Amino acid sequence: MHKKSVVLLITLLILIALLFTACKPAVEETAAPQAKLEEVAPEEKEAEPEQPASKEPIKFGVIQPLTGPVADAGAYVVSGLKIGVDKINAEGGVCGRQLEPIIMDGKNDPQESVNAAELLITRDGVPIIMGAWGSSSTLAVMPVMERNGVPLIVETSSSGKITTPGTPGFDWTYRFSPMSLMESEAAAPYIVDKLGMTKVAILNVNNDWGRGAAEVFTNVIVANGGEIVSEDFIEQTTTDVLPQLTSIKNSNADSILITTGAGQIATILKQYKELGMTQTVLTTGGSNYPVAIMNLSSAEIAEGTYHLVFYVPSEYDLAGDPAVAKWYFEEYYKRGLPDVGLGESYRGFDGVHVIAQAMELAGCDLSPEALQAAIPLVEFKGLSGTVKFDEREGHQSRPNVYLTKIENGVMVVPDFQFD
Amino acid sequence: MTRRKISILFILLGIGIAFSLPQFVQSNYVLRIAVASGLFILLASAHNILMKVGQLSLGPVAFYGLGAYVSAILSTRYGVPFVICFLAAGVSAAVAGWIIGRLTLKLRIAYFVLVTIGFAEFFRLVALNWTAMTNGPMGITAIPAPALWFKGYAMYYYFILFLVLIVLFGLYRLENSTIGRAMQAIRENEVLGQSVGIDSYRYMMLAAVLSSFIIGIAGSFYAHFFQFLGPEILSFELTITIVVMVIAGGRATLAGPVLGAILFTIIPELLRAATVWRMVIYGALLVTIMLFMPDGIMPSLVSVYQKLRNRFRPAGEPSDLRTTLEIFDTMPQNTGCRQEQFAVSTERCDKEEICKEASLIVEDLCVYFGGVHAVEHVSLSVYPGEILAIIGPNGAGKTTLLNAITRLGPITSGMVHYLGEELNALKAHETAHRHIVRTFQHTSVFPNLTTYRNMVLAHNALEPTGLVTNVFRTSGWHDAEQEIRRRADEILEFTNLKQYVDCVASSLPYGAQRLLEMGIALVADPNLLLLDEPAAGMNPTEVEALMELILRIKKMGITVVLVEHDMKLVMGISDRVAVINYGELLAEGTPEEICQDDKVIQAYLGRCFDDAQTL
Repeated sequence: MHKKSVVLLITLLILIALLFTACKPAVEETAAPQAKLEEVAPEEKEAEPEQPASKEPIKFGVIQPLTGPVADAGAYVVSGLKIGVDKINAEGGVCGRQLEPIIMDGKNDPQESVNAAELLITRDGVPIIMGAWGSSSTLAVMPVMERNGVPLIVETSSSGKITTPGTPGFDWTYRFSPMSLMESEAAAPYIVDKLGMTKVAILNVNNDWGRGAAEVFTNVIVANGGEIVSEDFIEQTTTDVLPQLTSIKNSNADSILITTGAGQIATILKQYKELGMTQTVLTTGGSNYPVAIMNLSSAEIAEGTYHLVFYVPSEYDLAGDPAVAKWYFEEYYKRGLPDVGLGESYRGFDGVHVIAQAMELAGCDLSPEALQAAIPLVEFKGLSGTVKFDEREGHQSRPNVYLTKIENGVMVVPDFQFD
Repeated sequence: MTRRKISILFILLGIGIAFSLPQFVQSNYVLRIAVASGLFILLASAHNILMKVGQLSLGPVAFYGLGAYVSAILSTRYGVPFVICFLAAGVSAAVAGWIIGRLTLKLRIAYFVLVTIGFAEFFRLVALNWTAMTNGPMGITAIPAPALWFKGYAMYYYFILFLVLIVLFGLYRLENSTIGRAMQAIRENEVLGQSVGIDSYRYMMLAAVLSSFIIGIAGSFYAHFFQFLGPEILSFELTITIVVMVIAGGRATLAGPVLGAILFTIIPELLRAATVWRMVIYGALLVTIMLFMPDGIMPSLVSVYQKLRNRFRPAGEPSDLRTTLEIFDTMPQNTGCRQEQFAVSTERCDKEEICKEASLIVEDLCVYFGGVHAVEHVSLSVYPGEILAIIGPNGAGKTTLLNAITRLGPITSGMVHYLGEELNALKAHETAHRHIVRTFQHTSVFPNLTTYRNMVLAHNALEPTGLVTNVFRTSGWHDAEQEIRRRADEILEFTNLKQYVDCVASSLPYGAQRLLEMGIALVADPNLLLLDEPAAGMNPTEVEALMELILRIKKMGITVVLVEHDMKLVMGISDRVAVINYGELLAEGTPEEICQDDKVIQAYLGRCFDDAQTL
């Protein structure tokens, strides 16, 4: 009995201690990402002491899902971001100061993401934030940005509402992640004629991303004389798509359009092969880097499939800046990062460069208002093409879209798309 | 200073701090977390109402989401003013709670849990796929603020604070009322509760409706606070968060879920520094809390406080066990003994004499469980004022007969009449309202509560049960509270349980527990008392005391039906004895007649009780 109460007391003490640490987590927090950067980038370590010690690093906020069901995707963005930060810092930083990202977990949950945004602005006083991965989280964060008057750079979310004037927080939000609409527009000239997708079965993930893609691709396919045979939406966590595939197999569909994450695409392709299906496969969405899909399934399974991507890592010439693309590709593998993340990691890399350039363009005035004014002037040649926010398109940047194909176990970029 | 005064002081202090928070904290972040805590206090407290009737629902998000969507859709699509949206959210969630309650409250434990998960998932799929109305996964944006002057977070903060205070006040009043006690009785021992007249279905329904109403308005607040609403609000993870808050905070208390909601909103925020390890640490912390504080943080805090207090308290002062469960209980310390004598109700049949007209008539009763004929064509009459013993071998159908009479068990055919009224169509708790009360073969008390509290709960069905009366404490309420105390003290005296008044029932000696059972039944004011093997497991001294008690009960004018194996007891106090064998009535008569009955001797008694001891 006595022992038990001692344990009880200790547990209570820990709880109380935890409550009191609330007063000073700022120190630990900012230290954590820095420590990690040093781990992954030892070569930059020596360069640091040369920086004038009096100059404080420039902080900026990042909200990504670091835990929860989509933590892997958040980690990919963060890995690209860290490469970008290290590159900028090694080249002398921004306005002569080092960049320091404060990365917060938003769990891709609206409430958590909003809390993270509020904390970044209030406690760390960041003048700009990049985030918040999913569209729901981004849409929830946007009013907070407006309330506080801090700009938001959107790197992943695809919901059309984010760039629709009238949405709360629209004035402060700039997006370089492409909408499905842009993919469909890029694919319009060849999707029916060249790929022969005339009777299409759509198999998309059931969220704004998958649903949005289904809508815009339907328009494009129908406009080019094709038709939609069926439309299925599956949960992000679904691992068995045999029922949907069987029904597609038994329909008169000649092709399948898939929009979801790389992992689920691989799962679908495995089951597609299992059923011995022959329909043309086109995947969209941006996380579908063909090499990753081959690694997640196999070269045989993925053979002959088409993938619409924004960033073709190994084809440097297709990027906004081939030299940077080459450096990035090599740096990424040098750090031992996984294939599967490469396709998405560009978001973090391009994102931090957009932020850095906006800071320079603002004449090193790091107030949120100055940054807001500078962001429309940004023109960054990055991995996914040129990032330039178009006022007429709702602060949206238009990236490259490329069709890739897996042929004989390697990724190729078919020529007909450039006609 | 009494405990009550300390509690009030703490509460006032808490409210004071809460009100002045926006004055000395300018940080939007802190206010935001405070608002989130407020939301979770509403959710956890509302969810705890269902926990209080012993039902674990894993579907609170269904009502949260429903309230949020109703409010968001009404305001964005139809431009309905916030006040109406807000109320509509609560009402629609309450209606949904009522419908789901109708469908599920007949289920218990695991089945209830599963069905509630199903409902939450159903609502999620609707929100996800009914894109025409909910906009599906794209969500609803630009939900207007409650009013134009809702500019900063401070307004939202005061609004949620206001809601929290009202809800907590209401729940506090409810908890310390007839309704709260009925809920406690249902959680502790539903069947016993029914046997003393508590309508468990009604209270569970009330809990479900009330809980979903509060969750519904919380949903509305959520929608208008975030100004964006997606199907994430219906995620199972949120349910788990709410349940964790209630259980880790301490579900037996009112303050537990409040503390849980605040702690488990703040802890994940404090753990932000841990980035990817955040949820791992959070999980480990949770496991630690549950391992070392299985009742939750709040009860543990109270017990630590109590131990400290006991250590510094002058010897001789009585300890205060009740606080461990009822931190805000307003029940007085019943240290002063009542001197009044137990009053004999005069309207009952004349004392010693046995009335000529039967009060309970069992007519050709059959109870079948599939092929098992537990009771077969039994006809029996019980006369007011008598003690009728029902004896028979194990499995003869005695308890089944008792269950049929008290409507806790089924009737296949036949009739049970009491004072000219047919009992067949009644529910278990309704027989108690007709002053038919029973005890159980296996000791059945409210195990985790004190003897005094056991008595108090047993009185429940005799009190006003209206929601308004109990929350607003209208005129009759105070008289009713007085009556409970009087009655509880009276029966404690009568059953000689005064010495155990502050002891938890399950810690009582066996004999005392059986007496407590009788006490519970007596508090419920029976005219007909059915005792199911009251002497089982008692030693001879205890049996002597029991016999004396039953005779005293008879003297009060209460008719007693006694199912018993102890022949000394049966033959010693019964006026008549009925013998049942294989579900059939074998014989009926005075103890002497039964003793000499050949059929009875053959089937059950062997030789009569004088010789039995030499065997």
